[in-house]
Amino acid sequence: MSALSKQSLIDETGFISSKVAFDVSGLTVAYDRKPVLWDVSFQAHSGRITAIVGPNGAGKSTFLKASLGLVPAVTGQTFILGEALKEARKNIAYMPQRASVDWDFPASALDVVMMGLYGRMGFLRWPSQHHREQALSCLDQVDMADFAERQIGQLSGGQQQRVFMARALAQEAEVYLMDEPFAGVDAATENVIFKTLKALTAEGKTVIVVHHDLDTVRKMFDDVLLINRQVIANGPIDDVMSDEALRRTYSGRLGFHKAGEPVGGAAVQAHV
Amino acid sequence: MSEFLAELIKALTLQAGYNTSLVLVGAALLGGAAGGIGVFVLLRKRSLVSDAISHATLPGVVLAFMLASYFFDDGRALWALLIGAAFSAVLGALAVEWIVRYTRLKEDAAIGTVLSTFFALGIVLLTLVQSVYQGGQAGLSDFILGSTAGLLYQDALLIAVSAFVVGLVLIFKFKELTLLCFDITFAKAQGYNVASLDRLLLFLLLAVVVIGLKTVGLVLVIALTIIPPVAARFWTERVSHMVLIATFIGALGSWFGAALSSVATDLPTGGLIVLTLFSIFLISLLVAPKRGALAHALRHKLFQRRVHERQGLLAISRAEPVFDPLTQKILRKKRFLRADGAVTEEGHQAAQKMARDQVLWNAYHQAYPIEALALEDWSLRPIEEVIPKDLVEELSEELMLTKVRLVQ
Ligand SMILES: Nc1ncnc2c1ncn2[C@@H]1O[C@H](COP(=O)(O)OP(=O)(O)OP(=O)(O)O)[C@@H](O)[C@H]1O
Ligand SMILES: [Mg+2]
Repeated sequence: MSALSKQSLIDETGFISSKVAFDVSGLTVAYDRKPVLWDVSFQAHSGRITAIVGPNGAGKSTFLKASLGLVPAVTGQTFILGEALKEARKNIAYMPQRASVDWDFPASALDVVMMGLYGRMGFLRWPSQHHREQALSCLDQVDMADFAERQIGQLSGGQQQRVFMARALAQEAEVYLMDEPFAGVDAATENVIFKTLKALTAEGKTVIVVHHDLDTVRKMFDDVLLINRQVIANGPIDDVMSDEALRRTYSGRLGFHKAGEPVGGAAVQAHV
Repeated sequence: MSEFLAELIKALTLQAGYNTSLVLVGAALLGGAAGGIGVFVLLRKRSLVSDAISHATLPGVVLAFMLASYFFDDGRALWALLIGAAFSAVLGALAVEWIVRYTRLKEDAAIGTVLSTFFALGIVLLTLVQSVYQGGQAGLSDFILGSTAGLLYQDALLIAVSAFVVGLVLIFKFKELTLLCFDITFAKAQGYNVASLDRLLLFLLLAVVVIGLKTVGLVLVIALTIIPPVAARFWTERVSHMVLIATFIGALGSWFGAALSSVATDLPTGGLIVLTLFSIFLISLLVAPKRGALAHALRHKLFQRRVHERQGLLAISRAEPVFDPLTQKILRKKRFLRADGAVTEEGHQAAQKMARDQVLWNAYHQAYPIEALALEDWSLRPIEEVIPKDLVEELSEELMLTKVRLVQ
């Protein structure tokens, strides 16, 4: 699968334009001995924006969490820009599907974004004016600068989502992993945020987004990972996102009827 | 009475002799450290666990007493008792953790079980000791309710050193502890070792509890870590400020409570300190400017008046009658309505002005929806008081409102 994607990259531009920035191999994850991900390998390239697509319960969130060691994996490794996960933490910004935080916490929107800078601040450094400005500009990128001083519990759901997006931006990472960042965000904001993510890829950063809207995937993303417990396909959108692949990912749930060979995750799922 | 006050002031200003001053300084340091660390215990939602920990110290204290009197012939050696306390507190904490992890019991049930079992064991042991070592165990019951009477220089020194260590850790680990309490997933993803941060927090808490045992007593020592942060929360929306304020409240309350107990010698120190802290809590609850109850009520009242006045005047400007009794009352008070309900000349003028203001606010909301959403005062106060004048002019020009007079 990865050979295919590399091949396509070469075809597209005439030379290998980008390197593998996020490399997961052989990831198997089980909750309570029930396998949720089975031998998943995936590569994302720097300077490109990848969508992770699959039905509810396919293991998309689990994939992101396990690749970062946030839930235990049975097998599997992650390399970030050639470094093992442990050395590369500072190069990752991860935004979970639902922030499980205490909304009554004594922190303003700006304070939350500032937390994204903690990792770079170092031992005993206190947030300075410079950090505040940096955090403010990140809030501005998601159109939330006017809410900087609000306590986070006093923001709407979509606004809270945007604050956590701003925190991820503040991390100035190399690889951005975002779990459905557009859920509950209005169309105008989605546009603004998407432009920001695109701008990141233009700087050579790697962006990986779990995305549910099949209609917009083609327009917005460069590459795609189709996943349903196993990898169905991984590569440039135009090459791998065929109706056949989608049918296998969603195993009939998109309105196609389940026909022919049951493949990958669909087969496993049918028997468990 | 005045004699009591004079004595109290003497104690508070450290003029009541060496021993009293020692007690006051020791108590204040303890209270400050407990308040500071308490902020993170509270934000990490560990307040109940800390209660279990403090109760779990009792069997350790009594066992240590028995061992110490057997081996060293002096059961009251403080260091032995404190080591015993720490030891059984750790056991208690581990027991809670174990129950939560390996049974289906929730944390609150686990805490309740451990707390009462350890305390029961402690009480039984204590009674045993009392019947065996008559007289020798005199100091032991102090560990339950606390006493400053026998506080020695070494004890105060121990408290000072511990408070210093707690303070250092709070400064050096502030960012990490904040992340731990606010967003543990994020902390993990960033590569922080959250398990060891949790252990650090528990260790500091344990240290404060153990050194506070003798002064405040095990039943009440935990209040030292809970009340100051809860009171501090009323005054601020910032973690860093909350730590400073809680430290201050903890120190102040303990200082004052210890002074009280030095004057009213037959009342228990722990109780007096906690009651003092509670008074500070009560004051905070009432008068804190942002989150306090009075401020809240006042703000609500003001808000209500503004809305009623505005809606009433807007109704007048549309030549609609005003039915709402509160609105009528407010408009009458401002002489916009006469007693019979007729609109006065001033009322008409104010209504005109309010209508213009509302049009401007609506225009602002249309032109700058995000900023308008972020404004607390949107459509509540006159627009010129809230947004820059040139913006108001721009808006009114756009609306072709001729000749806007900003000051009237
Ligand atoms: N903490 C957990 N314990 C047990 N099972 C879990 C847990 N979290 C997820 N699962 C199961 O693992 C599977 C994958 O879950 P995951 O959250 O990764 O799906 P997803 O692809 O992100 O779905 P969605 O589109 O709804 O976000 C699901 O079948 C779910 O029921
Ligand atoms: Mg998910």
